[in-house]
Amino acid sequence: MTAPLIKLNHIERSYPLGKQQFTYVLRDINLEIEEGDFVSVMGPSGAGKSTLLHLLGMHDFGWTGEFFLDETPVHRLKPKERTTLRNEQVGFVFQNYNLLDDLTVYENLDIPLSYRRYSKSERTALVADTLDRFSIVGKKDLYPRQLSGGQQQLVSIARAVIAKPKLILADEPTGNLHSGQAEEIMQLFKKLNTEGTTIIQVTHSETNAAHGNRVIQLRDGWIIK
Amino acid sequence: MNALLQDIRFALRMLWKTPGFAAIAILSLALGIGANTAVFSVVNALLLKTLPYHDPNRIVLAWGVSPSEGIDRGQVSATDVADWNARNHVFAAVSTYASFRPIIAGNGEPERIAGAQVGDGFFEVMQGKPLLGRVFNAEEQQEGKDFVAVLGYGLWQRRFAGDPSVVGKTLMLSARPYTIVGVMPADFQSLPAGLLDAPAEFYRPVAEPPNEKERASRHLRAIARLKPGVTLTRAQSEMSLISRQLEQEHPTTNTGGGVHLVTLAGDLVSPVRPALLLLFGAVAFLLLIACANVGNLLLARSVARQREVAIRAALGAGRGRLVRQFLTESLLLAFAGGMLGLLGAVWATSLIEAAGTRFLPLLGAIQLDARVLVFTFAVSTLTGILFGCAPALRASRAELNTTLNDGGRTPNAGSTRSNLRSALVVGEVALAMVLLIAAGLLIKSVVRLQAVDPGFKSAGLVTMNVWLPQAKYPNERAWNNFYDRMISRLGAVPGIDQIGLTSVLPVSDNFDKRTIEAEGQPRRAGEFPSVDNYIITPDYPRTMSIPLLRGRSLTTEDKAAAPLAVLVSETTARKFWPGEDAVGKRLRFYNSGPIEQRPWRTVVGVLGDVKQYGLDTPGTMALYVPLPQMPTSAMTLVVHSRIDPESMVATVRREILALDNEQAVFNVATMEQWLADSTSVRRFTMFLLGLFAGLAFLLAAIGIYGVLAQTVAQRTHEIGIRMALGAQRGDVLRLIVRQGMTLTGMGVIAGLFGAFALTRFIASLLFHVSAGDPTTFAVISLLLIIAAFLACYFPARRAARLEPLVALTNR
Repeated sequence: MTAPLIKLNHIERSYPLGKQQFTYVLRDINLEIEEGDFVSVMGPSGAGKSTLLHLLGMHDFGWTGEFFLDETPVHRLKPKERTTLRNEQVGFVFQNYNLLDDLTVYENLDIPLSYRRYSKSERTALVADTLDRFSIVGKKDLYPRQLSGGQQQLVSIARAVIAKPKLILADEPTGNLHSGQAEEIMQLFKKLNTEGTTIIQVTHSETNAAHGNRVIQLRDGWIIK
Repeated sequence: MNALLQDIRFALRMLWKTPGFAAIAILSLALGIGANTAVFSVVNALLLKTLPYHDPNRIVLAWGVSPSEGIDRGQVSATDVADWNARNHVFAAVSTYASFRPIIAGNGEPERIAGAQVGDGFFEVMQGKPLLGRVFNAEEQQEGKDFVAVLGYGLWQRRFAGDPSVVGKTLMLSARPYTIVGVMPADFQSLPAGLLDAPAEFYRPVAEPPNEKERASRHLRAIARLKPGVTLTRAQSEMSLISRQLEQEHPTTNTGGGVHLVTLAGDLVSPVRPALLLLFGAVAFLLLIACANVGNLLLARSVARQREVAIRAALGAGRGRLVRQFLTESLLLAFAGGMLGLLGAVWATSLIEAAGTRFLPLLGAIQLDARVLVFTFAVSTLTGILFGCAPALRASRAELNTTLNDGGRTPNAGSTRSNLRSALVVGEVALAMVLLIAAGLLIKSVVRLQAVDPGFKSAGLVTMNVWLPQAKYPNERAWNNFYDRMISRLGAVPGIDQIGLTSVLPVSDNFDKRTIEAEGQPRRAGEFPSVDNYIITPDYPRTMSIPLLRGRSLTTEDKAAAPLAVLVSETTARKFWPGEDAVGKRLRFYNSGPIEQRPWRTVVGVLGDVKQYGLDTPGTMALYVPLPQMPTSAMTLVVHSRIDPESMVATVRREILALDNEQAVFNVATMEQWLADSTSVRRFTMFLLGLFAGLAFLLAAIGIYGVLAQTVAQRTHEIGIRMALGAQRGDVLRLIVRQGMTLTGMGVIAGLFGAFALTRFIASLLFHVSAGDPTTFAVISLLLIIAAFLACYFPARRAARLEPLVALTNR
């Protein structure tokens, strides 16, 4: 039996409120996610969905507990090692796309590769391949502001997968899109999942959640299902 | 009006709400405006203010010139001036003057006072009417009838308590009675230090009637008043014509000589004009840098205030009204900075005045008068508009819909604003670079200057003037007797190991130029080889550590009756006897007297060259004559002490007073002080420029830091995205540092071009350093780049330490 891709043991995340007082956003999270899963994290606002996602994406280090990613104990890693691990394993998709305004589509795709120290020729090949794969070759010289929301999210997903991560984390990826565009994005996720990428998305939409194979419900920081 | 008051009220409230911002902005502006006001006060006092004389633009100085001797500001003879007076049609009056510093006794403690000997017509030139009595008449310009004095108002008040019946009373000057014939009013200003040794407190006649035998005795200075309507150019042509006539009529004394006319104001400020203009340019740069910094702060603030502007616009405020609101704030800041700057300028001008007393040709205090106040007000207003305009225009251009709907985030407007802020940083780095390079060149000049060997060793030397009054010391025997006793007495003082006397001290502004001829080298027409003449005691060269290169030094055996001996400087020996040994050669002073009164003097030794006219001048031809063979009543005592020369001053003064309790020792200074004074204009300019450049450097570094800190704040979210996409801390650090260093690089390149273009204007202030000195340019560039790197590093480090989640959720 293979180890799960993600294993969380007794993860807690709190923020100080005042003297000796804390507010907990994640409480005693114990969770295993297998490689190849397509998980939807659901729950009301303030339930801790995005916090969990950023924790998994190693954007947040202020938690306690144990976190294993592909058997690597993240809780024991130094910040630089976590960044390296993140770069190797994780791609992130944001609700508001978070494309860099002053870079073209091409440059937005190139930048994760440059941070991963790919050579120039490798980058050129990968970006060309990704542009082709996502059918956005014609947009490569445009700036994000010149694209529609759906196109921007498409670029954002392309950027997340370009470095071939094992895991894609998506924070309400269709939150700013109309239903037609949302469906296209979900289909894209489905396709990526079928190709072997593990996907964890935060969503409010039952329809979107239906594209995955597992739903995790969060409420007040606790996993309730 | 109501709306304006409302704007002012609101602006005050906004500034009150952000005291940190207001304090930094006001302080930056106070620095810029204060420095401008201080330097303008000096420029105003020296270059702009009308001189305190009647119709001063018509007062001209007539300097003797001799191109072959390199003299362009020489003295003149009373006989030549008498001829000018008789022949010219351009002067309302022309006269002569010279310093006169006797000891005044009676009506208080004896003291050495500054006075002037003036020729006939001096008071006409100056248009001075006496308050009491009269000025000198022509008869009093005769020898023997010249023991008359006109008091200045200050001396009249100080020594005579403003006695209205002072005319006709006697004044004791250097033990001689002078009859007071008049008192000048309070508003009659003396000629300033620079033309006289010190501003005159009284006047006496020159008493040198025209005498053909004295035509070559050029020891006076000439001053004239142009007739109404006569231009300086016309007067110059006529004086050149008269000079040519005199040259033809008196070829032995006047060949190659001429006259150079210059207005009094032009003459006074010409030595300091380049330095002042440089400093004025420097403070203008400093103010521009301060403006760029405050403009940057305001631009940053305008980002935070976009929502407020959008709401105002939505409520109906027109663009003009919005611009006015922002400009009101910037003007308030500028005026507050101006007020603080003015206070700083009061303090700074008093420092400049104190530091510059010895070389600034000041005719009164540097005052913050109406013109300075108007200047400060105008500079403040312009400054407020300059740094406030761009932020006001930018802020008033906010896009309502986007701003209100996006919580104040407008990426495109932000980008334009950021470009403007970057441009301001590039500009201020470039300006700071130019100032730093100029300061660097001056510092290098002063360092090179101070490394120049003056030809003597100044360490341990104390100098002071001794002047023996004719009434008490009537003849050469009396003089020599006093000098001998003084040397013998001082020689017994513990700590003193060498004592010398000289008629002229190097680098002291004093000089004694004489024309000479060498035996077997007949003088060609128009050729006036002149030397600096020093009358010395035998121990003087040793006291000053002037090296003896060949032959022997002077000894006590070189008495009046002994064969006439001289020492010459190395340059004199090389010029007159190139390739030969000068020792044993003969020379004589050239004058208009009979040939038998021009005895040959034998060169007995050759001394090293001495920098008579400052460290930045070449060694001159010099001649050293033994005191007994050319007696004089005015000498400078030079004492070499093994202990601190400063502490020796009081001892020496006490010993001299023990010899003669009426002997006022004056001009007491260490040789180190004389040397320091000789470079004071350069050091003063260097200090001020260095100070302004340092401030500019600091402001530029703050500017870079401010822009990058603001960038980090504005780009936090973007930094979060980059981190989410895989950026390591080093990537973020490099991103921010690269932005700052790119701006710095552009600024440095622009500054290098600017400096190449501008430093040639300060070439006259440099010494042994070229205006494009590559070392200075390189060192300053490196210095600025290192400072900029540090200014970039701290905001960049902050950015690199951001937690990705915090950065991502930052809006």
